[in-house]
Amino acid sequence: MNTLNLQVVNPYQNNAFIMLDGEIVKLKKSKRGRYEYSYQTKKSSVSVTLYQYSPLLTTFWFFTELFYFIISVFGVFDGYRSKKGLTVSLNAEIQLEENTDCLIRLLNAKVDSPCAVIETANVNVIENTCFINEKINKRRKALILPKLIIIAISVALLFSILF
Amino acid sequence: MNIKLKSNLTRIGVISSNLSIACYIYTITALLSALLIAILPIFLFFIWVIVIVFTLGLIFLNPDFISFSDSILSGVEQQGNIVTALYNSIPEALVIGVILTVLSIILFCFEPTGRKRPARLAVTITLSVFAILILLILKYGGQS
Repeated sequence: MNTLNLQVVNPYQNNAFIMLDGEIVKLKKSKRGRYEYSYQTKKSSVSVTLYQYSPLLTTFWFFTELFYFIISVFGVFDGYRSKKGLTVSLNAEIQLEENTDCLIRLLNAKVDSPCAVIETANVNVIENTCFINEKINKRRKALILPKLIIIAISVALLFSILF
Repeated sequence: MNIKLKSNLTRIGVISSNLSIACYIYTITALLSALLIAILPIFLFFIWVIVIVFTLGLIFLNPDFISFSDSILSGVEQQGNIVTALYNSIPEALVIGVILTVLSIILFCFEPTGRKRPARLAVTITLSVFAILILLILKYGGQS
């Protein structure tokens, strides 16, 4: 049985989650401020990927976003800000031995720059980049008009009630 | 827990937390405004007394100052005591509360990082003081 001792710095950077062999790992905070996870497998290698959640890529994105827009009083109290559709993509293969130590540092997303640094003995990085997701940007732009209409209707309703 | 559900719950939590902060700011500013409006006429009276001491002749020759001081004095007399004054100032305080809450929300929106919090606080305080002063001028300035 091979064991991967994973240590992660800034694990929730860019709203992304670390996946080992296609499954999101549950990290535990260590005393040094890093996050740790121990993964055991019979395989000789393990794939590391990043899963990034974006509400604009879900099935009911249009209605969900409008719902949040209304309940957060025209988006004023909404904490979610999409960084211009910036998406991270990481795909790496770590060769395992009986006990393999691995440190992953997730970096702040910038266009055409690596999203993470992987420090381990034997690693094959297939993809490690940040790029702008045009689909997210298109959907964000598509929401501008409905939001303006909602604001206009609300203002008109308010005036009709007050005066 | 499902990532999608967790993210949605977190988002709702953030929205409700921000709303509660806004309500908190509103309540505090409304209460402070009520207190300030209630006690300020008395302070204005004392300030005016000091002004008299230093610029006696000038003030008594200026009819505007005399009428303004009369209006302040009559306002305090009419209200009786601070508790009554506090009660009477509640409508204005609520208006100030709304103004300050809107200002705070605007500042919250344009805050890019947590580092600029002291600057935001300073701007909020300055704007709050200006809002209170404008409302006081509107209330008491018009009586002269």
